[in-house]
Amino acid sequence: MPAALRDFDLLLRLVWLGTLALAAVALSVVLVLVLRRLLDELARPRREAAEAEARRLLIGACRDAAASMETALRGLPPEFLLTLLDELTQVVRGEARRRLADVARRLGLVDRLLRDARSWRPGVRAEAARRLALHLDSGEVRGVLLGLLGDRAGAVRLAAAEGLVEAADLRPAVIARALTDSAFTHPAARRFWQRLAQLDAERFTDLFRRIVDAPRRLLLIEAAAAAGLVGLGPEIARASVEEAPELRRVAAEALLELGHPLAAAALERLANDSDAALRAAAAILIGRRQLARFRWNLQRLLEDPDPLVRFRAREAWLRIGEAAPALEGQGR
Amino acid sequence: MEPAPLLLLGRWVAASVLAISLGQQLFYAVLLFIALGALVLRPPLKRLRSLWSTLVDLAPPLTILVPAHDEELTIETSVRALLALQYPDFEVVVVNDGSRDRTLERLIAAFDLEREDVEPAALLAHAPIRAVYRSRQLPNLRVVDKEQGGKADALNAGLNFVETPLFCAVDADSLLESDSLLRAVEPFVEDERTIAVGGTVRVANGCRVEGGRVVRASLPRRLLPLLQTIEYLRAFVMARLAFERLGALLIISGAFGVFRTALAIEAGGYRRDTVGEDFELVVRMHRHACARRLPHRIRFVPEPICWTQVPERLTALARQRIRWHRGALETFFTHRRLLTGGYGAASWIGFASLFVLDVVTPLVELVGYVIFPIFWMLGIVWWPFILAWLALTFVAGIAISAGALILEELELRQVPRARDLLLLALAAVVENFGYRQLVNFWRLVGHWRYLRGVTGWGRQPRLRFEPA
Repeated sequence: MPAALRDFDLLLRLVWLGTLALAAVALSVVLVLVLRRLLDELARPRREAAEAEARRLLIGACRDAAASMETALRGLPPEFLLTLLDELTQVVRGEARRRLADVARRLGLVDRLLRDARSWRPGVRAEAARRLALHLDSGEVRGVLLGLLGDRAGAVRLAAAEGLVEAADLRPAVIARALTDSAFTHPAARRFWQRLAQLDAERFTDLFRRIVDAPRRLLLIEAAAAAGLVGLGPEIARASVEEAPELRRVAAEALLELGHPLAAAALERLANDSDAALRAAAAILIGRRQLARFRWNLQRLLEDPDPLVRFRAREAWLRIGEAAPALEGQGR
Repeated sequence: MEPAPLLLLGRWVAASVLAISLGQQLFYAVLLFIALGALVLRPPLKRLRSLWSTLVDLAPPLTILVPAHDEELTIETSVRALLALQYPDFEVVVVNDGSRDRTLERLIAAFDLEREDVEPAALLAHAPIRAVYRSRQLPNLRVVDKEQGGKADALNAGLNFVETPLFCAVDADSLLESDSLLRAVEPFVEDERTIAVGGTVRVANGCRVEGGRVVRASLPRRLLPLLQTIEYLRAFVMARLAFERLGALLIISGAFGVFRTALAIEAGGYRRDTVGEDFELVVRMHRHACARRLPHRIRFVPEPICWTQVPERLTALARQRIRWHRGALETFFTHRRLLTGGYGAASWIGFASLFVLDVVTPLVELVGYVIFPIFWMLGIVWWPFILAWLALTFVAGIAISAGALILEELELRQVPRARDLLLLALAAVVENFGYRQLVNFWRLVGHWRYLRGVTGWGRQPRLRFEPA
């Protein structure tokens, strides 16, 4: 073999030895994981019994948090306890929630969440922010959540805002952030705006009248409808006339959701909109909400020049439980 | 003395094959690390209760499209399982694509269907519709009976009936997790640029199935499905996740995918003259969105949301792989303009790397099997060369598959038992000695059939799921 080609030998050796070493390392790691899983499986029966007991104790704690339960819960993995508490706090309210928060604090779970809030993983920080909302009576928690409002990940900022909005005295700071931060124009911010509308109708109404940018306005209209803020009907009705197509659709839907007297006019306008997609949306709305009183709108949409609108109208007609009138030339 | 020109040419060919194999394995290693980053940085997995409370008011209505052809064995169970999915507002549209068995009769009897006087808008072309039925008991179930036109044709017929902003295309024999729709719709709620979402598909062979749902996950007992299990794991946990992270995901499995209805219709729906209609639709939606300068994202959910039966016999597997490869080639050549640019760097990377990994490297590997033994005997290459080639061809795959298994165990933990993890590790070794070569050979056959202009799906045997 010529000497020039043998110069490649080192590279070739590196390739085959390196590949073998990599495969050996990867398989060794898998074997370690198999062992870890095996140990986990061996410990499972005992752990499952302890977890069932923990579940029973925590459900009991919603009624009466006995101090003795802490001893039984301390040996369990904090991640399991946090998940369990999270599930329970989503279904209980008032005093029971406060008791669960107390249990979490006594078990040191709040400290764990505060540590998670500093994690390098944005997902862990967001989850910690969401769970910390239960402990807003603690000054340290409030401070950490306010800090997370400036996090570099949008999901973390939204999670912190969703928690902080629960505290009336912190709302101005959260709202100030929401007005300048682009994360709050994102569909993922819906929950924040909805919660604000539910908790503080006065401040929300004021904001609703001030905010003019389309992405936030869209979320605010949805939030107003979800919170049942009928008083905002006239403003929403104005949005159904003046603004971007998506806003017109959402505004009409919101008015219907609110059962507002202006809903009929908004739906009528939507059904006559120059945008075929919105006319189709009107037909879908009538059908899905079984709005039989709008059947004459549907009748007109059945003759619409756009085939999609005609199809949606026919669908809606069937949905509201009437035989569609026989029409010719529907482009089938 | 200078070597003879033929000898020199031989060495260049061997060195090129080696370089391509090395490049392929390095690329896989990069994908593995990107997938690791994606898994580590993703938000913690939400439990069903939490997912439901987050999405119940936000999830848009959705239609599940189920194309069915000769599915009488499983259709009733499949539809019942779909109707029981956890989602606030959805409709199921089953499209009976000219079944020759009793698929339609079974549906009529099981769901008390009555004929409906409705015809779809002619938004997408498809074979003629014979009748449309709606269930008297379940208002969110509709069955469209049509002449046979193939899966893409059936999906187009179903799409004409969709009146929700999102639709989910599933195979009639796919088994979905009860939270699959919620998980797949979450990216649409989080980011309005999302146009399509795919999810991890897992192998259902060997699992215990009850009422159309996997109630106990388990590994297949036969070797062939077991080898496919590790293959699916590598494809979904590593490759798709990494491509999604790069913004270069262009494949969504036909077994389960959620799409924006308006964009899919605008893009022209499913292409009826290809067997790779799932891949083709995603690529076309991407091109359409690029042409409209619409900011868009194609997302992937790493959690398992769909289970599918994989072939248990070599002949069935060969047919499936040849068909997949033919479909991929049809899409590559139809959309070759993606390679010339204008559609974003990320999609160029996605499309070009898929082309190289699916089309070029399997051929190069097969060439290697032929030339290296011959070149060694002729003295064109020497032993470290052979060892490097053997290591890249047979051993590097073990490292990559084991890497995917490590990702799975550390971040997803869906392999049921320690014993199963060990079995999969063994499968990761075994698949490199025979199975992978066979799959590459089928790809070669797929190339040949594509060049000969072969079309159609061929016969596909239906398997019953293992009852509980």
